[in-house]
Amino acid sequence: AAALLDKKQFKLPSLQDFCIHVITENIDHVNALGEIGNHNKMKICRILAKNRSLNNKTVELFLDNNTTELEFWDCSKIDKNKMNQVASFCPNLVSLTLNMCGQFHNDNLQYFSNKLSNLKELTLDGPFLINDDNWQSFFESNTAKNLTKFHLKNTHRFSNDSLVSLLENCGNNLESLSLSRLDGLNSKPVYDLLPHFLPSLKFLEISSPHNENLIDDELLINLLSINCETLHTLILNKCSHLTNKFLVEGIKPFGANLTNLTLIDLDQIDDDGMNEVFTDWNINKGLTNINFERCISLTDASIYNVLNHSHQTLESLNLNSVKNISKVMFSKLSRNLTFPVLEYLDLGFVRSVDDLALAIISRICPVLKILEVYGDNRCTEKALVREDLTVIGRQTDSI
Amino acid sequence: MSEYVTLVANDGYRVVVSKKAASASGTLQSMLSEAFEEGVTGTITLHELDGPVLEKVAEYLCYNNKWATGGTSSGDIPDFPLPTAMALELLVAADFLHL
Repeated sequence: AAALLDKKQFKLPSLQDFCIHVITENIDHVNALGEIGNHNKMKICRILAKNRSLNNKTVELFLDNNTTELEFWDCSKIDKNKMNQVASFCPNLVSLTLNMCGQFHNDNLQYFSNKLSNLKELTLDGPFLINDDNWQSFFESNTAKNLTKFHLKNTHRFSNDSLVSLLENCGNNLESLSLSRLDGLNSKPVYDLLPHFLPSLKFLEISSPHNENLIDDELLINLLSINCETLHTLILNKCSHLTNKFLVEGIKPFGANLTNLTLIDLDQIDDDGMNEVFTDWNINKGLTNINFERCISLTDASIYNVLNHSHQTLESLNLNSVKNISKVMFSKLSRNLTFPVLEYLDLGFVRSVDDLALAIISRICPVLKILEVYGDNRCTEKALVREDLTVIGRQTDSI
Repeated sequence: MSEYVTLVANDGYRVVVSKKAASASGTLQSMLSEAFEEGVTGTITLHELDGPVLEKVAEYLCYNNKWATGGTSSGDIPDFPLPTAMALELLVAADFLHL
Protein backbone atom coordinates (compact mmCIF):
# COMPACT_ATOMS: atom_id res chain seq x y z
CA ALA A 1 0.00 0.00 0.00
CA ALA A 2 2.87 2.36 0.79
CA ALA A 3 4.21 1.82 -2.69
CA LEU A 4 0.82 2.69 -4.10
CA LEU A 5 0.73 5.96 -2.18
CA ASP A 6 4.19 6.80 -3.43
CA LYS A 7 2.80 6.24 -6.91
CA LYS A 8 5.40 3.58 -7.45
CA GLN A 9 4.42 0.29 -8.87
CA PHE A 10 6.33 -2.63 -7.56
CA LYS A 11 6.46 -5.79 -9.57
CA LEU A 12 8.20 -8.94 -8.51
CA PRO A 13 11.03 -9.70 -10.94
CA SER A 14 10.19 -12.54 -13.30
CA LEU A 15 12.16 -15.74 -13.31
CA GLN A 16 13.68 -14.58 -16.61
CA ASP A 17 14.86 -11.37 -14.95
CA PHE A 18 16.59 -13.37 -12.24
CA CYS A 19 18.23 -15.64 -14.79
CA ILE A 20 19.46 -12.75 -16.90
CA HIS A 21 20.80 -11.08 -13.79
CA VAL A 22 22.79 -14.15 -12.86
CA ILE A 23 24.04 -14.56 -16.43
CA THR A 24 25.15 -10.93 -16.59
CA GLU A 25 26.97 -11.16 -13.29
CA ASN A 26 28.85 -14.28 -14.26
CA ILE A 27 29.54 -13.47 -17.85
CA ASP A 28 33.28 -13.41 -17.23
CA HIS A 29 33.18 -17.05 -16.22
CA VAL A 30 31.17 -18.35 -19.12
CA ASN A 31 32.03 -21.94 -18.23
CA ALA A 32 30.28 -21.61 -14.89
CA LEU A 33 26.96 -21.02 -16.65
CA GLY A 34 26.80 -24.59 -17.86
CA GLU A 35 27.14 -26.10 -21.31
CA ILE A 36 24.02 -25.86 -23.43
CA GLY A 37 24.91 -26.60 -27.03
CA ASN A 38 24.72 -24.46 -30.14
CA HIS A 39 21.04 -24.81 -30.89
CA ASN A 40 20.07 -23.55 -27.45
CA LYS A 41 22.54 -20.71 -27.78
CA MET A 42 20.56 -19.29 -30.70
CA LYS A 43 17.42 -19.64 -28.63
CA ILE A 44 18.96 -17.86 -25.66
CA CYS A 45 20.14 -15.10 -27.95
CA ARG A 46 16.55 -14.56 -29.06
CA ILE A 47 15.21 -14.69 -25.51
CA LEU A 48 17.73 -12.07 -24.42
CA ALA A 49 16.76 -9.83 -27.34
CA LYS A 50 13.09 -10.29 -26.48
CA ASN A 51 13.82 -9.18 -22.91
CA ARG A 52 15.83 -6.26 -24.29
CA SER A 53 18.80 -7.62 -22.38
CA LEU A 54 21.24 -8.21 -25.20
CA ASN A 55 24.02 -5.84 -24.23
CA ASN A 56 27.78 -5.45 -24.06
CA LYS A 57 27.96 -8.04 -21.32
CA THR A 58 25.50 -10.71 -22.39
CA VAL A 59 26.69 -10.63 -25.99
CA GLU A 60 29.89 -12.35 -24.87
CA LEU A 61 27.97 -15.58 -24.45
CA PHE A 62 27.74 -15.93 -28.21
CA LEU A 63 31.25 -15.03 -29.25
CA ASP A 64 33.51 -17.96 -29.93
CA ASN A 65 35.86 -19.13 -32.58
CA ASN A 66 33.64 -21.82 -34.05
CA THR A 67 30.53 -19.74 -34.55
CA THR A 68 29.52 -19.52 -38.19
CA GLU A 69 26.09 -18.01 -37.78
CA LEU A 70 24.95 -15.12 -35.59
CA GLU A 71 21.60 -13.45 -35.32
CA PHE A 72 21.28 -10.43 -33.04
CA TRP A 73 17.70 -9.19 -33.16
CA ASP A 74 18.34 -6.14 -31.03
CA CYS A 75 21.76 -4.49 -31.15
CA SER A 76 20.69 -1.17 -29.69
CA LYS A 77 22.66 -1.79 -26.49
CA ILE A 78 25.83 -3.08 -28.11
CA ASP A 79 28.37 -0.29 -28.58
CA LYS A 80 30.98 0.29 -31.21
CA ASN A 81 33.89 -1.41 -29.43
CA LYS A 82 31.91 -4.48 -28.57
CA MET A 83 30.67 -4.73 -32.13
CA ASN A 84 34.25 -5.03 -33.34
CA GLN A 85 34.76 -7.92 -30.96
CA VAL A 86 32.03 -9.82 -32.79
CA ALA A 87 34.29 -9.90 -35.81
CA SER A 88 37.52 -10.54 -33.92
CA PHE A 89 36.14 -13.38 -31.78
CA CYS A 90 34.15 -15.04 -34.56
CA PRO A 91 36.39 -14.81 -37.62
CA ASN A 92 34.67 -17.78 -39.24
CA LEU A 93 31.24 -16.16 -39.52
CA VAL A 94 29.38 -17.10 -42.66
CA SER A 95 26.05 -15.55 -41.89
CA LEU A 96 25.46 -12.43 -39.82
CA THR A 97 22.19 -10.69 -38.95
CA LEU A 98 22.13 -7.41 -37.03
CA ASN A 99 18.74 -5.86 -36.37
CA MET A 100 18.17 -2.45 -34.76
CA CYS A 101 21.83 -1.75 -35.30
CA GLY A 102 21.70 2.03 -35.01
CA GLN A 103 25.04 2.00 -33.20
CA PHE A 104 26.75 0.09 -35.98
CA HIS A 105 29.50 2.46 -37.01
CA ASN A 106 31.55 3.20 -40.14
CA ASP A 107 34.63 1.79 -38.40
CA ASN A 108 32.74 -1.40 -37.59
CA LEU A 109 31.84 -2.04 -41.19
CA GLN A 110 35.42 -1.43 -42.23
CA TYR A 111 36.72 -3.74 -39.52
CA PHE A 112 34.22 -6.43 -40.48
CA SER A 113 35.28 -6.28 -44.10
CA ASN A 114 38.90 -6.90 -43.07
CA LYS A 115 38.20 -9.68 -40.59
CA LEU A 116 35.30 -11.71 -41.88
CA SER A 117 36.75 -13.31 -44.97
CA ASN A 118 34.21 -16.16 -45.00
CA LEU A 119 31.14 -13.97 -44.78
CA LYS A 120 28.50 -14.91 -47.34
CA GLU A 121 25.26 -13.57 -45.91
CA LEU A 122 24.74 -10.14 -44.37
CA THR A 123 21.47 -8.74 -43.07
CA LEU A 124 21.34 -5.26 -41.54
CA ASP A 125 18.29 -3.47 -40.20
CA GLY A 126 18.69 0.21 -39.38
CA PRO A 127 22.43 0.87 -39.88
CA PHE A 128 21.92 4.61 -40.30
CA LEU A 129 25.40 5.61 -39.17
CA ILE A 130 27.04 4.06 -42.22
CA ASN A 131 27.52 6.72 -44.87
CA ASP A 132 27.82 6.56 -48.61
CA ASP A 133 31.64 6.53 -48.73
CA ASN A 134 31.81 3.62 -46.36
CA TRP A 135 29.20 1.61 -48.20
CA GLN A 136 31.22 2.06 -51.34
CA SER A 137 34.54 1.07 -49.81
CA PHE A 138 32.84 -1.91 -48.17
CA PHE A 139 31.45 -3.13 -51.47
CA GLU A 140 34.89 -2.80 -53.02
CA SER A 141 36.43 -5.09 -50.40
CA ASN A 142 37.00 -8.78 -51.05
CA THR A 143 34.60 -9.76 -48.28
CA ALA A 144 31.72 -7.97 -49.95
CA LYS A 145 32.53 -9.43 -53.33
CA ASN A 146 31.88 -12.92 -51.92
CA LEU A 147 28.44 -12.07 -50.58
CA THR A 148 25.59 -14.16 -51.88
CA LYS A 149 22.97 -12.56 -49.68
CA PHE A 150 22.62 -8.88 -48.84
CA HIS A 151 19.53 -7.61 -47.05
CA LEU A 152 19.26 -3.97 -46.03
CA LYS A 153 16.41 -2.19 -44.28
CA ASN A 154 15.65 1.18 -42.76
CA THR A 155 18.46 3.55 -43.52
CA HIS A 156 18.34 6.83 -45.43
CA ARG A 157 22.12 6.96 -45.84
CA PHE A 158 22.26 4.23 -48.46
CA SER A 159 22.37 6.41 -51.55
CA ASN A 160 22.14 5.98 -55.29
CA ASP A 161 25.92 5.73 -55.55
CA SER A 162 25.98 3.04 -52.87
CA LEU A 163 23.61 0.91 -54.88
CA VAL A 164 25.65 1.38 -58.04
CA SER A 165 28.72 0.27 -56.15
CA LEU A 166 26.87 -2.75 -54.72
CA LEU A 167 25.71 -3.79 -58.17
CA GLU A 168 29.05 -3.31 -59.86
CA ASN A 169 31.08 -5.13 -57.23
CA CYS A 170 28.79 -7.78 -55.81
CA GLY A 171 26.02 -8.11 -58.40
CA ASN A 172 27.50 -11.15 -60.08
CA ASN A 173 27.37 -13.37 -57.00
CA LEU A 174 24.24 -12.04 -55.32
CA GLU A 175 21.51 -14.64 -55.06
CA SER A 176 19.40 -12.89 -52.50
CA LEU A 177 18.87 -9.13 -52.38
CA SER A 178 16.53 -7.10 -50.24
CA LEU A 179 16.17 -3.32 -50.34
CA SER A 180 13.50 -2.12 -47.97
CA ARG A 181 12.67 1.42 -46.80
CA LEU A 182 15.81 3.02 -48.21
CA ASP A 183 14.85 6.66 -48.59
CA GLY A 184 18.25 7.70 -49.88
CA LEU A 185 17.63 5.73 -53.04
CA ASN A 186 15.68 8.18 -55.13
CA SER A 187 17.01 7.94 -58.65
CA LYS A 188 15.00 6.08 -61.21
CA PRO A 189 17.96 5.56 -63.60
CA VAL A 190 19.85 3.85 -60.76
CA TYR A 191 16.97 1.47 -60.01
CA ASP A 192 16.78 0.78 -63.72
CA LEU A 193 20.31 -0.65 -63.53
CA LEU A 194 19.13 -3.55 -61.35
CA PRO A 195 18.32 -5.98 -64.19
CA HIS A 196 21.73 -5.57 -65.81
CA PHE A 197 23.87 -6.57 -62.85
CA LEU A 198 22.09 -9.46 -61.18
CA PRO A 199 22.50 -12.60 -63.27
CA SER A 200 22.02 -15.21 -60.54
CA LEU A 201 19.22 -13.77 -58.47
CA LYS A 202 16.96 -16.19 -56.59
CA PHE A 203 15.34 -13.94 -54.01
CA LEU A 204 14.42 -10.32 -54.57
CA GLU A 205 12.66 -7.90 -52.26
CA ILE A 206 12.06 -4.25 -53.06
CA SER A 207 9.76 -2.79 -50.44
CA SER A 208 8.54 0.70 -49.63
CA PRO A 209 10.66 2.66 -52.13
CA HIS A 210 11.14 6.37 -51.43
CA ASN A 211 8.70 7.21 -54.17
CA GLU A 212 6.32 4.78 -55.82
CA ASN A 213 7.24 6.01 -59.32
CA LEU A 214 10.75 4.59 -58.92
CA ILE A 215 9.61 1.03 -59.46
CA ASP A 216 7.63 0.63 -62.66
CA ASP A 217 6.37 -2.16 -64.88
CA GLU A 218 9.25 -1.97 -67.37
CA LEU A 219 11.88 -2.41 -64.65
CA LEU A 220 10.24 -5.55 -63.31
CA ILE A 221 9.53 -7.04 -66.74
CA ASN A 222 13.13 -6.47 -67.71
CA LEU A 223 14.40 -8.01 -64.50
CA LEU A 224 12.14 -11.03 -64.70
CA SER A 225 13.10 -11.70 -68.30
CA ILE A 226 16.76 -11.94 -67.28
CA ASN A 227 16.33 -13.92 -64.06
CA CYS A 228 13.45 -16.17 -65.02
CA GLU A 229 15.58 -19.32 -64.73
CA THR A 230 16.49 -18.85 -61.08
CA LEU A 231 14.12 -16.43 -59.38
CA HIS A 232 11.87 -18.16 -56.85
CA THR A 233 10.90 -15.37 -54.48
CA LEU A 234 9.58 -11.96 -55.43
CA ILE A 235 8.52 -9.46 -52.77
CA LEU A 236 7.27 -6.06 -53.93
CA ASN A 237 5.46 -4.50 -51.01
CA LYS A 238 4.11 -0.98 -51.48
CA CYS A 239 5.55 -0.62 -54.97
CA SER A 240 2.12 0.72 -55.79
CA HIS A 241 3.04 2.12 -59.17
CA LEU A 242 2.99 -1.42 -60.57
CA THR A 243 0.01 -2.34 -62.73
CA ASN A 244 -1.50 -5.29 -64.55
CA LYS A 245 1.12 -4.87 -67.25
CA PHE A 246 3.85 -6.18 -64.96
CA LEU A 247 1.74 -9.23 -64.17
CA VAL A 248 0.83 -10.03 -67.74
CA GLU A 249 4.12 -9.24 -69.46
CA GLY A 250 6.49 -10.11 -66.59
CA ILE A 251 5.13 -12.73 -64.23
CA LYS A 252 3.18 -14.79 -66.73
CA PRO A 253 5.89 -15.44 -69.34
CA PHE A 254 8.91 -15.37 -67.02
CA GLY A 255 7.64 -16.64 -63.66
CA ALA A 256 8.10 -20.34 -64.38
CA ASN A 257 10.08 -21.08 -61.22
CA LEU A 258 8.39 -18.60 -58.92
CA THR A 259 7.15 -20.12 -55.66
CA ASN A 260 6.73 -17.09 -53.41
CA LEU A 261 4.84 -14.02 -54.57
CA THR A 262 4.26 -11.22 -52.08
CA LEU A 263 2.51 -8.08 -53.31
CA ILE A 264 1.27 -6.09 -50.33
CA ASP A 265 -0.60 -2.87 -51.02
CA LEU A 266 -0.55 -2.93 -54.82
CA ASP A 267 -3.84 -1.16 -55.38
CA GLN A 268 -3.61 -0.86 -59.16
CA ILE A 269 -3.59 -4.59 -59.72
CA ASP A 270 -7.05 -5.89 -60.47
CA ASP A 271 -9.00 -8.92 -61.65
CA ASP A 272 -8.11 -8.53 -65.33
CA GLY A 273 -4.39 -8.84 -64.68
CA MET A 274 -4.68 -11.67 -62.19
CA ASN A 275 -7.03 -13.67 -64.38
CA GLU A 276 -4.74 -13.23 -67.34
CA VAL A 277 -1.80 -14.64 -65.37
CA PHE A 278 -3.40 -17.46 -63.44
CA THR A 279 -5.65 -18.88 -66.17
CA ASP A 280 -3.71 -21.53 -68.10
CA TRP A 281 -0.42 -20.60 -66.43
CA ASN A 282 1.06 -23.97 -67.25
CA ILE A 283 4.75 -23.13 -67.12
CA ASN A 284 4.45 -22.56 -63.37
CA LYS A 285 3.71 -25.67 -61.35
CA GLY A 286 2.12 -23.83 -58.45
CA LEU A 287 3.10 -21.26 -55.82
CA THR A 288 3.79 -22.21 -52.21
CA ASN A 289 3.40 -18.77 -50.69
CA ILE A 290 0.99 -16.07 -51.81
CA ASN A 291 0.50 -12.74 -50.08
CA PHE A 292 -1.96 -10.26 -51.59
CA GLU A 293 -2.60 -8.29 -48.39
CA ARG A 294 -4.45 -5.03 -49.09
CA CYS A 295 -4.62 -5.53 -52.86
CA ILE A 296 -8.04 -3.98 -52.56
CA SER A 297 -9.01 -4.10 -56.23
CA LEU A 298 -9.08 -7.89 -56.31
CA THR A 299 -12.39 -9.76 -56.06
CA ASP A 300 -13.76 -13.31 -56.12
CA ALA A 301 -13.41 -13.44 -59.88
CA SER A 302 -9.62 -13.50 -59.80
CA ILE A 303 -8.88 -14.91 -56.36
CA TYR A 304 -10.71 -18.10 -57.28
CA ASN A 305 -8.56 -18.52 -60.37
CA VAL A 306 -5.40 -17.90 -58.35
CA LEU A 307 -6.39 -20.58 -55.86
CA ASN A 308 -7.46 -22.92 -58.61
CA HIS A 309 -3.98 -22.67 -60.10
CA SER A 310 -1.96 -23.17 -56.90
CA HIS A 311 -4.22 -25.06 -54.51
CA GLN A 312 -2.12 -28.23 -54.60
CA THR A 313 1.10 -26.50 -53.55
CA LEU A 314 0.04 -23.57 -51.36
CA GLU A 315 1.55 -23.62 -47.87
CA SER A 316 0.84 -20.07 -46.79
CA LEU A 317 -1.84 -17.68 -48.03
CA ASN A 318 -2.50 -14.11 -46.93
CA LEU A 319 -5.59 -12.30 -48.21
CA ASN A 320 -5.81 -9.83 -45.35
CA SER A 321 -8.04 -6.84 -46.21
CA VAL A 322 -8.96 -8.08 -49.69
CA LYS A 323 -12.35 -6.85 -48.74
CA ASN A 324 -14.28 -7.71 -51.89
CA ILE A 325 -14.11 -11.45 -51.35
CA SER A 326 -17.69 -12.61 -50.84
CA LYS A 327 -19.38 -15.61 -49.27
CA VAL A 328 -20.03 -17.04 -52.70
CA MET A 329 -16.35 -17.74 -53.16
CA PHE A 330 -16.16 -19.97 -50.10
CA SER A 331 -19.07 -22.11 -51.22
CA LYS A 332 -17.50 -22.38 -54.65
CA LEU A 333 -14.22 -23.44 -53.02
CA SER A 334 -16.09 -25.92 -50.89
CA ARG A 335 -17.46 -27.70 -53.94
CA ASN A 336 -14.35 -27.70 -56.10
CA LEU A 337 -11.01 -27.34 -54.35
CA THR A 338 -8.94 -28.73 -51.49
CA PHE A 339 -5.66 -27.40 -50.14
CA PRO A 340 -3.66 -30.47 -49.11
CA VAL A 341 -0.57 -28.66 -47.77
CA LEU A 342 -1.88 -25.25 -46.66
CA GLU A 343 -0.70 -24.54 -43.10
CA TYR A 344 -1.22 -20.81 -42.63
CA LEU A 345 -4.13 -18.65 -43.76
CA ASP A 346 -4.86 -15.01 -42.99
CA LEU A 347 -8.36 -13.74 -43.83
CA GLY A 348 -8.32 -10.75 -41.49
CA PHE A 349 -10.70 -7.92 -42.40
CA VAL A 350 -12.37 -9.98 -45.12
CA ARG A 351 -15.72 -9.27 -43.57
CA SER A 352 -17.68 -11.83 -45.50
CA VAL A 353 -15.92 -14.58 -43.55
CA ASP A 354 -18.42 -16.09 -41.12
CA ASP A 355 -18.89 -19.31 -39.15
CA LEU A 356 -19.96 -21.17 -42.24
CA ALA A 357 -16.85 -20.06 -44.12
CA LEU A 358 -14.70 -21.17 -41.17
CA ALA A 359 -16.29 -24.61 -41.26
CA ILE A 360 -15.65 -24.88 -45.00
CA ILE A 361 -12.02 -23.82 -44.62
CA SER A 362 -11.48 -26.24 -41.78
CA ARG A 363 -12.74 -29.04 -44.02
CA ILE A 364 -10.99 -28.25 -47.30
CA CYS A 365 -7.61 -27.46 -45.67
CA PRO A 366 -6.86 -30.68 -43.77
CA VAL A 367 -3.46 -29.64 -42.40
CA LEU A 368 -4.20 -25.95 -41.74
CA LYS A 369 -2.68 -24.97 -38.39
CA ILE A 370 -3.29 -21.24 -38.02
CA LEU A 371 -6.19 -19.19 -39.32
CA GLU A 372 -6.31 -15.45 -38.62
CA VAL A 373 -9.66 -13.70 -38.70
CA TYR A 374 -9.05 -10.32 -37.04
CA GLY A 375 -11.81 -7.88 -37.85
CA ASP A 376 -14.21 -10.52 -39.14
CA ASN A 377 -17.06 -9.88 -36.76
CA ARG A 378 -19.28 -12.63 -38.11
CA CYS A 379 -16.89 -15.27 -36.79
CA THR A 380 -17.93 -16.65 -33.43
CA GLU A 381 -16.91 -19.46 -31.14
CA LYS A 382 -19.82 -21.50 -32.53
CA ALA A 383 -18.01 -22.22 -35.79
CA LEU A 384 -17.37 -25.90 -36.38
CA VAL A 385 -13.63 -26.20 -36.89
CA ARG A 386 -11.14 -29.00 -36.36
CA GLU A 387 -9.62 -29.21 -32.91
CA ASP A 388 -6.06 -28.91 -34.13
CA LEU A 389 -6.81 -25.68 -36.01
CA THR A 390 -6.02 -22.48 -34.10
CA VAL A 391 -8.36 -19.62 -34.99
CA ILE A 392 -6.90 -16.27 -33.94
CA GLY A 393 -8.65 -12.93 -33.67
CA ARG A 394 -12.29 -13.74 -32.94
CA GLN A 395 -14.00 -11.03 -30.94
CA THR A 396 -15.82 -13.54 -28.80
CA ASP A 397 -12.68 -15.31 -27.62
CA SER A 398 -11.77 -14.38 -24.10
CA ILE A 399 -8.26 -13.08 -23.66
CA MET B 1 -11.70 -30.20 -8.72
CA SER B 2 -8.42 -30.49 -6.88
CA GLU B 3 -6.61 -27.39 -5.75
CA TYR B 4 -3.25 -28.86 -6.62
CA VAL B 5 -1.51 -29.76 -9.82
CA THR B 6 1.30 -32.24 -10.43
CA LEU B 7 4.17 -31.19 -12.69
CA VAL B 8 6.22 -33.99 -14.24
CA ALA B 9 9.70 -33.53 -15.70
CA ASN B 10 11.09 -35.51 -18.63
CA ASP B 11 13.05 -37.76 -16.25
CA GLY B 12 9.98 -38.62 -14.20
CA TYR B 13 10.62 -36.19 -11.35
CA ARG B 14 7.28 -35.03 -9.92
CA VAL B 15 6.40 -31.99 -7.90
CA VAL B 16 3.04 -30.83 -6.58
CA VAL B 17 2.14 -27.14 -6.40
CA SER B 18 -1.12 -25.29 -5.83
CA LYS B 19 -3.05 -24.24 -8.89
CA LYS B 20 -2.96 -20.66 -7.68
CA ALA B 21 0.83 -20.69 -7.69
CA ALA B 22 1.06 -22.47 -11.04
CA SER B 23 -1.21 -19.93 -12.70
CA ALA B 24 1.58 -17.34 -12.47
CA SER B 25 2.86 -19.05 -15.58
CA GLY B 26 0.79 -18.14 -18.62
CA THR B 27 1.64 -21.44 -20.27
CA LEU B 28 0.59 -23.55 -17.31
CA GLN B 29 -2.53 -21.49 -16.75
CA SER B 30 -3.84 -22.10 -20.25
CA MET B 31 -2.97 -25.80 -20.01
CA LEU B 32 -5.08 -25.97 -16.86
CA SER B 33 -8.22 -24.66 -18.51
CA GLU B 34 -10.90 -27.32 -18.70
CA ALA B 35 -10.66 -27.65 -22.45
CA PHE B 36 -7.47 -29.68 -22.16
CA GLU B 37 -6.69 -33.07 -20.74
CA GLU B 38 -4.20 -31.52 -18.31
CA GLY B 39 -7.00 -29.47 -16.77
CA VAL B 40 -9.06 -32.56 -16.10
CA THR B 41 -6.35 -34.88 -14.81
CA GLY B 42 -4.43 -32.21 -12.90
CA THR B 43 -1.12 -33.53 -14.22
CA ILE B 44 1.14 -31.62 -16.59
CA THR B 45 4.09 -33.30 -18.28
CA LEU B 46 6.80 -30.87 -19.30
CA HIS B 47 8.98 -32.68 -21.83
CA GLU B 48 11.33 -29.73 -22.17
CA LEU B 49 12.35 -29.61 -18.51
CA ASP B 50 14.48 -32.00 -16.51
CA GLY B 51 14.20 -32.69 -12.77
CA PRO B 52 16.54 -30.11 -11.26
CA VAL B 53 15.19 -27.32 -13.50
CA LEU B 54 11.60 -28.24 -12.71
CA GLU B 55 12.37 -28.20 -9.00
CA LYS B 56 13.74 -24.67 -9.34
CA VAL B 57 10.72 -23.61 -11.39
CA ALA B 58 8.40 -24.96 -8.70
CA GLU B 59 10.43 -23.10 -6.10
CA TYR B 60 9.95 -19.88 -8.06
CA LEU B 61 6.21 -20.49 -8.39
CA CYS B 62 5.95 -20.68 -4.60
CA TYR B 63 8.25 -17.67 -4.14
CA ASN B 64 6.11 -15.71 -6.58
CA ASN B 65 2.91 -16.84 -4.87
CA LYS B 66 4.22 -15.73 -1.51
CA TRP B 67 5.64 -12.35 -2.43
CA ALA B 68 3.85 -11.12 -5.53
CA THR B 69 1.01 -9.57 -3.56
CA GLY B 70 2.36 -9.61 0.00
CA GLY B 71 5.37 -7.32 -0.35
CA THR B 72 5.04 -3.60 -0.58
CA SER B 73 8.48 -2.49 -1.63
CA SER B 74 11.53 -4.24 -2.94
CA GLY B 75 13.27 -3.89 0.42
CA ASP B 76 11.03 -6.43 2.14
CA ILE B 77 11.53 -9.19 -0.36
CA PRO B 78 14.44 -11.63 -0.34
CA ASP B 79 16.22 -12.34 -3.60
CA PHE B 80 15.45 -15.57 -5.36
CA PRO B 81 18.52 -17.81 -5.05
CA LEU B 82 19.71 -19.30 -8.30
CA PRO B 83 22.64 -21.65 -8.98
CA THR B 84 24.87 -20.07 -11.60
CA ALA B 85 25.34 -23.30 -13.50
CA MET B 86 21.63 -23.53 -14.13
CA ALA B 87 21.01 -19.96 -15.29
CA LEU B 88 20.98 -20.57 -19.05
CA GLU B 89 18.89 -23.70 -18.92
CA LEU B 90 16.47 -22.05 -16.54
CA LEU B 91 16.19 -19.02 -18.82
CA VAL B 92 15.03 -21.23 -21.69
CA ALA B 93 12.51 -22.93 -19.39
CA ALA B 94 11.26 -19.59 -18.05
CA ASP B 95 10.76 -18.28 -21.55
CA PHE B 96 8.72 -21.37 -22.44
CA LEU B 97 6.59 -21.00 -19.32
CA HIS B 98 6.18 -17.21 -19.63
CA LEU B 99 7.52 -16.73 -16.16
